Amino acid sequence: MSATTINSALRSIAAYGLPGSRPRFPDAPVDDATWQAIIEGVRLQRIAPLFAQAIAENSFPTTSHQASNAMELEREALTNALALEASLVDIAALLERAGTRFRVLKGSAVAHLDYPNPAMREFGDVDLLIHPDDIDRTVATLAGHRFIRRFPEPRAGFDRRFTKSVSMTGPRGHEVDLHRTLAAGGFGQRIPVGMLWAAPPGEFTLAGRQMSALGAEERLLHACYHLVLGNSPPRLVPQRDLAQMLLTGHAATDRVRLLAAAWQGESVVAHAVTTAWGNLRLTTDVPLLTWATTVTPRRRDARELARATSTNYSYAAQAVDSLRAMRGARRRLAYISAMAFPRRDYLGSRHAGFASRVRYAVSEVVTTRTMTKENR
Amino acid sequence: MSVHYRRATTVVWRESRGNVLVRPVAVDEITVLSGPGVDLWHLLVDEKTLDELADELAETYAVQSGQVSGDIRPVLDDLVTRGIVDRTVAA
Repeated sequence: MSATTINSALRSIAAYGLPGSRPRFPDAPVDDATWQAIIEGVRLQRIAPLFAQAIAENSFPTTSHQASNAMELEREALTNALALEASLVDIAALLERAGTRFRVLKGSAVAHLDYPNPAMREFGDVDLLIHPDDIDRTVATLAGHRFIRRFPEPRAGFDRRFTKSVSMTGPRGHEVDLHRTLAAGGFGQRIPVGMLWAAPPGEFTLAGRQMSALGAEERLLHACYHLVLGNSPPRLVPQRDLAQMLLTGHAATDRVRLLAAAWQGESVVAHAVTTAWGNLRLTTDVPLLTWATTVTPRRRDARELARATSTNYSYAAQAVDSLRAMRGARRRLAYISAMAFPRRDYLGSRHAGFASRVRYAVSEVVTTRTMTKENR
Repeated sequence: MSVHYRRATTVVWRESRGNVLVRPVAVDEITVLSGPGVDLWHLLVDEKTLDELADELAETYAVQSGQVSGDIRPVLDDLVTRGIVDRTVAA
């Protein structure tokens, strides 16, 4: 079976069970090499529960050995999700005691609020949106409980003012991402973070604790941003999330469009919806898809989207796009200053020293300029 | 004096393909329930006595309530020990 066929099977697995999906699975159990390639893809894309479901419902033919292999993989995914949720419950308790305002993002929240059964949604870390005013306190609180920060803060106040997220690893080895906003680069910079906190939250219960997430429309927009700006090529799980929300969820299309306009992210949302529908080969029309096909991005957005969806959208290029989207001369100056002259420990964690950083920055800016020119 | 059972609030769980996987937040251990154990888990969403649980399971499986009661008592004791079911005693 060719790489294209394996890729097609993975996309069918990601779409499995959605209304209007047309799975393209093999007619008979695949050979060992193909099976290994599929299993690797399923693991990488975090779609083990959907694969197990397709096998259990006899949609994907397997040998008995392959079937038990897939069920083991699903069991691992479920066990990992429960371990992460146990961590989430502990973290929530710590943050509540510290008076931190937070919302659960992505994995656990989407599993409980957007899927008919949370067991269908695999995830690999804990993601929280932290109120910008509370982010320093949150980092300090977790550090006081043996969480270790992945990279130091470039300059004092950077997390609160500019960062997309701070990654920490907990004592159980789980990663927790503390998000100030929902995306990197210019599109992330234009999200009015205050609106995320003003909107009514979605809520679910975990281990007897009420958890707040983003509201349905904000979750849908976040899925779009994660799909388009998170990885290139886009991962299958955010595509499934988006399709699940649009096909079986309760997000109001009018409000999604209003929010997309307020976030200056219509091009991101339109790109996300058409990408998910194309890749997952969905045939059911939804109002947002109809709208998405009519969106013509303005020139600035088209250029930034082209950069952001390329396979080499570097940290430096993201920084340049962030800077372009930033409002206020003082804010821009503070950002440039933090990027150009970070603290020594930050330099040490990312680059050997100042000279190395300058070389890196120069090469990255050159790359960025070249890409910008190419994308004109 | 009556003894009541209910799912512990300090657990996280998933249900998939006829099994329920339960994990106490504080303990790195998964308990897998299957068959009548899954029905028992569903019943334990509300506080119930052993007799109430036995009656409902007996109806589902069309067997004698007394027989079910004897079967599920050690299961409940085990689930209590594992920290995934709470037992309360009311005067």
